[in-house]
Amino acid sequence: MRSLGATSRRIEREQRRRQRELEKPRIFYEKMQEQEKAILEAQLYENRIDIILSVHRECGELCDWASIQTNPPPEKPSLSRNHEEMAQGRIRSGLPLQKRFLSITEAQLKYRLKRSDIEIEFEKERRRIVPAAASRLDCIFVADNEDTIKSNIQRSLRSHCSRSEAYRGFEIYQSGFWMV
Amino acid sequence: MKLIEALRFTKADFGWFEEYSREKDKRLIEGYWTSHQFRENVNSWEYLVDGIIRADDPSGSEKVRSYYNNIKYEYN
Repeated sequence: MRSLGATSRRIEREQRRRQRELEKPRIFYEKMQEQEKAILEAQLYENRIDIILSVHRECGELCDWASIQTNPPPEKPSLSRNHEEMAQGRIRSGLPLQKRFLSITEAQLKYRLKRSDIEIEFEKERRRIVPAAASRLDCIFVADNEDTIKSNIQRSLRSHCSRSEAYRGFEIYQSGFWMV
Repeated sequence: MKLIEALRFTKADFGWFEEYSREKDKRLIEGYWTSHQFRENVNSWEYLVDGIIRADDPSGSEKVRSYYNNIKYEYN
């Protein structure tokens, strides 16, 4: 019995010792975390103080006001009218409107082409027989202001006609409809 | 409706067009574009205009609007 009791005590001691050994790294780990947290906090605090104090230590680039004063003034930028001229050129050639027309009339033209092969045949023959005749093909033109209609549409239409052999259609305008 | 500008104007008999849908003969197309009458005493002339027509009255606007809507509908 004595030897049994001694054995059980020895086992218990072993377990306690083992437990203490296992506890050691956990405590160490927790301490490490606390330490690291403290270090970080300290660093943040120092950084903040550094930022606040930097006003007294740092300054921007030095300006040589005297040389700036004696320097000649910068060259006046020359106005480039490239884009304006290009736009004017496009208007003169009727391209912007034509483009707009084509984008709008695409569906309509497709519709016409899809709807009637006869119309297409007539159109082809018109080009051969009497190219100066008005077209049977319709298309829709849309303009957003009266100036566009009065000044540009006719020019664009002529340009459009010369290239596409004259389409007939109509134009929708705010106050009414314009047929071209 | 008011015709504002006519760049091109063509008078043609629609009878040729209708007939061509029945019988595919190129001479029918030629008859159409040379502005010949298809049948005597039958008025089926149509007038093609490349130009600008303004519909500034409500009924005219509505007429063109419905035409436009129909086209869109047919296309879809």
